[in-house]
Amino acid sequence: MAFVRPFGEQDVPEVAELHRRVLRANAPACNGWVQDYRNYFADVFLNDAARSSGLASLVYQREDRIAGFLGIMPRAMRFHGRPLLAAVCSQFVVDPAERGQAGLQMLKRCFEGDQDLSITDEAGDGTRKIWQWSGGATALPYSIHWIRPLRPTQAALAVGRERPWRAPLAPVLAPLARAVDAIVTRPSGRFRPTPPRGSREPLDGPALLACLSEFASACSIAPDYDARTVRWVLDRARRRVDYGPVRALLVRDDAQTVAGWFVYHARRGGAGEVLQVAAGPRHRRQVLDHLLDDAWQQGVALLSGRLEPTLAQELSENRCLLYRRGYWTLVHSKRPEIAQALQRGDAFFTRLEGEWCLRFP
Amino acid sequence: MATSQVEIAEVIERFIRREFRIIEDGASLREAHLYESGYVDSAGVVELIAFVESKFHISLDDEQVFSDAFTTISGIAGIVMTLEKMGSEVISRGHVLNK
Repeated sequence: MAFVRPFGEQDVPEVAELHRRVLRANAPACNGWVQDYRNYFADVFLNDAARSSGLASLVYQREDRIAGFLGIMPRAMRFHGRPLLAAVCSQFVVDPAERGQAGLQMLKRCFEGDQDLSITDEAGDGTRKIWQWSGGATALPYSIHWIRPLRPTQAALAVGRERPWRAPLAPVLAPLARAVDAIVTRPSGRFRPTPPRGSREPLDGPALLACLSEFASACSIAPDYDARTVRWVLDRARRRVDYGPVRALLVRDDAQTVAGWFVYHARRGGAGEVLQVAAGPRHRRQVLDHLLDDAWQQGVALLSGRLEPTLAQELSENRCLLYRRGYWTLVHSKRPEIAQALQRGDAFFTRLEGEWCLRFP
Repeated sequence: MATSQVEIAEVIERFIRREFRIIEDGASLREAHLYESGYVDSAGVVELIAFVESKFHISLDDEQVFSDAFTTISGIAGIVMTLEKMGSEVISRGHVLNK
């Protein structure tokens, strides 16, 4: 007999084994990997916020064996100023021997929960199919990504490095790529970011919280962070050292007014992943200019991020290529107006609010 | 429209073989566990449900989709047969009422 039930601490070793076997089959063998998983689950899916929200991650159990896991992270948000409890779904994994009804049953059970909104923003095509069958929908505006080469030759190398057979070529070609980039990125060249006006300064947790309170409420749906959650989110992002150091910066205009901010991973010579960029209506271009300029100064080869619908025009005008990266943002709500707000791009929902910070390190 | 459970099962088997690229090797799939045997995954179930619903003009509820019967072609054909029968009974009851 099979059934879906809440995930608990006692399930960690079995879920860890399942997760590693299905999603990380090529992970190098190392001592202490179970402890790494224990730490991860304790921090992400079994933390105080998860316990106090009443939302629990789910496992699919057949007889005495766990054959599926769906991670659920509660996220406090607001809908037209009123509290909204979102369940960010992540790490959806089903034992290959149980594929079929297990995934459907887990999602159905998840959607029956007390949350106002279920959301996932790194879903593949398979999850999209079962999500939609279970009553959910695709939020297209949040399923589009953008990419902006800063050093095009090094960018091409960085992309190639991700393919195993090209990796050995990268160190050999890197000096040549740098030389070519020095020519094609000369000042006034098309790849060189425009020198921005105004100034930028480091953005810490309290300042980010203040910015979010001021700017994000312009959207129907906005995150409702407290100081602890902001600290947690930034801390989780900073642990992704493989993506480069996190840079969080506040942008001011010439009159010293806050224009906006951005948070991104600055990987020298590689892809810089943008987690959050926000700007007031009059300062969108200026904040983007600062983001590109900062990435340029940090030696980033290309920047990549998820489309913020309010920035679509400015991204496009700044030679950012919009494309679908392979991830879908999927939503489900018992209240249609909530899902519709996301479907029309009327939500402040960036990668910082989504699954990025829930990834296994 | 298929009229017997065997015919329904044939239609479903043809669909599964075509969509999930299962080579015709003479062995019948009718009683095979579609998921444990690895023929159909979670996303495949959704395609199978959509096919069955549109082909036989029925609507499957969660109870039917998550039942043990929905793990084999014969079982699915049995569900379709039952729903088709119920549907035609509703229609004939409707005719009587309309008279």
